[in-house]
Amino acid sequence: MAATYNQLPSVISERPGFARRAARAIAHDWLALFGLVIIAVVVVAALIGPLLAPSPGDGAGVINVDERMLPPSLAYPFGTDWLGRDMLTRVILGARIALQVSLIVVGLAILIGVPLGAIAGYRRGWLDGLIMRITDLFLAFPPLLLAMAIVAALGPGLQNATLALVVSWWPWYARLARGLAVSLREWPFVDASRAMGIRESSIILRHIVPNSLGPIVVQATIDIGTVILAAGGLAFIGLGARPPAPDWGLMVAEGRQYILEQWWLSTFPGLAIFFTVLAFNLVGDLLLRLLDPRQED
Amino acid sequence: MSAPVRPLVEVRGLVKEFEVKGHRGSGVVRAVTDVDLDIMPGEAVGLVGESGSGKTTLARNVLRLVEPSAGTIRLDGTDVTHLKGGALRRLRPQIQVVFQDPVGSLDPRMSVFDLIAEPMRAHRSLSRGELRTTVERLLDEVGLVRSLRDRRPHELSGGQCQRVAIARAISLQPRLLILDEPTSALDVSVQAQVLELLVRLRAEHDLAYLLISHDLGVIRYLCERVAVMYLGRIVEQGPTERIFEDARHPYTRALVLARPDVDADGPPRLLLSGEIPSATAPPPGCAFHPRCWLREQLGRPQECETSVPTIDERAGQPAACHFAAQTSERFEREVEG
Amino acid sequence: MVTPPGPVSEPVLRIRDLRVRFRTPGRRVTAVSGIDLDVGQGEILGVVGETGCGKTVTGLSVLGLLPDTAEVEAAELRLLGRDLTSLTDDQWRGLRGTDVAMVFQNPTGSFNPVFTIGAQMRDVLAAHDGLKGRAAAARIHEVLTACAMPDPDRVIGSYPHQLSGGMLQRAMLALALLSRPKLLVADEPTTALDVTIAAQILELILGLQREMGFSVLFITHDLGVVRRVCSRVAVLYAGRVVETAGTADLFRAPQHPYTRGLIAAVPRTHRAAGALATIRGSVPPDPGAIVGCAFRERCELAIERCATERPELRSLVGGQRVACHVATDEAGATVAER
Repeated sequence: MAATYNQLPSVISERPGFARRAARAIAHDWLALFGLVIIAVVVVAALIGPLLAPSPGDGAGVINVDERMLPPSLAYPFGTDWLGRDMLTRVILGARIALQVSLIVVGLAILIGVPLGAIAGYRRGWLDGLIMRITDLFLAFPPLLLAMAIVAALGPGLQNATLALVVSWWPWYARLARGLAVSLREWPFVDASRAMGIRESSIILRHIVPNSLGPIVVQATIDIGTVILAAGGLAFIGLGARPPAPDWGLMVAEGRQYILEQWWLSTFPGLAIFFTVLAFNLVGDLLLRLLDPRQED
Repeated sequence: MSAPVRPLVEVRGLVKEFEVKGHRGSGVVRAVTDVDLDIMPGEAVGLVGESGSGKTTLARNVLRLVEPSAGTIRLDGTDVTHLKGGALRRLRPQIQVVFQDPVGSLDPRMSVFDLIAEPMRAHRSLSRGELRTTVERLLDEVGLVRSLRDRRPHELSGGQCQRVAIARAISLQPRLLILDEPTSALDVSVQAQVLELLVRLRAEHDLAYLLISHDLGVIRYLCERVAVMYLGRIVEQGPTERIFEDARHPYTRALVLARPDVDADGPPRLLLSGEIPSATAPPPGCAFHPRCWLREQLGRPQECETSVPTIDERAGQPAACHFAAQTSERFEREVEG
Repeated sequence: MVTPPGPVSEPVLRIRDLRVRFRTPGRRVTAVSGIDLDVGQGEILGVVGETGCGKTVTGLSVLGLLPDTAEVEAAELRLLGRDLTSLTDDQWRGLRGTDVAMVFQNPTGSFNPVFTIGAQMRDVLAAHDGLKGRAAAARIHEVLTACAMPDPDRVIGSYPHQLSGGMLQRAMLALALLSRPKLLVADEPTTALDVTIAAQILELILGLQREMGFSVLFITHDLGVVRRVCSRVAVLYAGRVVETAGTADLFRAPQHPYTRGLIAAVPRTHRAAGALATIRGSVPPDPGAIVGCAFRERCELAIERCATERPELRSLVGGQRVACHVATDEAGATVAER
């Protein structure tokens, strides 16, 4: 019967949990805090926007011709557009579209790209070559051209624009995951798992992918912002959301012709995009600092 | 009268080559050449050597993390040289490994519990209760308090991480444990604790060890037999005492004496000159000859450059040296003069 | 073991009550909490200890190489009589290389991979001694030869990646000795090298020291190396010196329980394996916060006083200094003598 070793109660490094480190990092960094607040606002707008917005009907096609083209005022803080729709309402409702599209695109891009990249990076050899060449093929298409091609084939609209964005985005995650897998496979803990007789698929699923999450989550956070921008761009050239949807990019496009006099038509949706993208970038930076489990304080 | 015991591991004529792409074009480098090694059940065999000796590559071949280029490896009589897939996986529980980097050999995202349980989850079907009991028993065995079970590797000390690695390695009750520099990254006092643990475990579980270390003191402490490697070949093999006290290969003598003695003063009695050759450009004949003191003393006989010496126990050649029979006597002369 | 130097003269390095703390987000970590050290002229002082004992931090503080997050305080920190505690960057640059130099454990990391060895050595000579052209080349060749570098001319034109570990370590020694420093700080110079190569480097360091007369602050965890190379030893534990003695005395009759434990814990290469003594427990995580002796919890001989009063270094009859309540009584007699 082996005696229990006399282990001292003191632990070598009391490393505070994630929540505490996060709280501390945020307290020190007001930019990150700012970003989190903006994101919170956007999320709330997306979730319960229709309840908060002053004139929810204005997002769905209600027209109020009497009140058209009114500059920002107390009654209409963001003004009204050429159909008399309340801009504040439309901007709030646009948050849902923005987040929906970006989360779907980033989510699907990860679901497609990460497994492919992880397998390629871990297996190396011919499979790596094959997957990476396919990835390169997709990367070679300028996203806009790809989007136009898909829209031309399938017809315009938000759904097809989303599809186009997923097709453009997954290769980046494949590449990222592959790079991470290539370096992770050199670590002794991977060798240890192989020596234990763990199946390759298990190693990839339980060791490679979880240890890749850090950089992937950081990238995804920033990408949410970038996708909103891209979706806005597609809408701007008529390939994305169609009127009367309260899509921010579409609103910027629609307001373009009036920009000199009725500046509020493009400006507020534009600012919404700007702040949202900025916020996601700032939070992405914060996550970058927090997520490495091996980082020293 | 018991039947002769079969070696647990039998390596014959092992060769491992790697492709190397240099600026001069690609070529082949031999990391391990013509290695014969036996490990008996319950025996602790030490593998010593410096950079380029091939000791780590040899261990990785025995562990079947890589496939040999030539030669055979038998595990308990079964030829495992080219096994793959499911057949190889089924044999894994019999040979386990502990690596040099205590923290790096553990997945940083997994808890101590999950790390120790991983092999059992892969190879056995135990209920949650059985798993928990077994993990707790293993924690006790390696001297870790049970409250550490939820910690992550970065929250543990090097010594604690190494204990986790050991617990994990013995969880499937292997017959052979390969230890690749298991204490090199640890402090002296922690090393002593881990070495003591290894001695105890070996006795309790009748484990065989293949211990790789550059630290000859560790080898001497744990091992019954030692194989000395130089540039991919085993240049001498034998019982620990003989290797340390009366080695037949001039390199072995120099290697042992190069280590400063904690208990005595004075310069090393033998000091080798020159660099360790690279496997990409091995010296002709005996790879050790450019640095060999015995060769100098004997007036640089031709054979050292023209023919590769091999160990041949039956022919009375215990070391891979053409003049092994003279080492003892010549050594006295060398250190006197 | 090397015989200690002759009559006492002004020490090359004098450290009294060195304290180093690191500011990390949220807390301060104490790395060194009161170290006293002297390195005499022509002496090789071994600084030995395990992880967290503060030996590397002490070495770096002598060269001003600690990061900005370090807070360094000392009653005295003098190199050749000169106070090091409040030097500007320019003043440090003037000292490094000419008065004090350092060699590190990992030679690969110490050289810039995109410059040849010769180019880097020329830079150093130009910066410290103003030597250029042929005078510089001659000096470089001279030092490399003194460091037993095979084929110095080829090495001068080589890039770091083209040299082996042993040759790089020689090059690093040569680089450090170019401008004839009075003190060489060597931090684990042979730990990363193969055994037979390490043996060469140790003999080289001894030979160079005999020839050129500089002092060495030799930092290592390896007791065998200490015995071979050092004339005096300071044993560090948890940021403090627990024992200093001449090498012969230290190994013949170690006084501090930690020193005894450490010596007994080393697996022997040159003797048949006996039982290996272990020191139970591990190094405390925050030694700065400990009341009393930092080694207390691991010590077989601990008494009540050890928990409340931190032991100071006291001199014993034979010249050794020990920081231990049990090892010394008021009369300076040792445990063994009692």
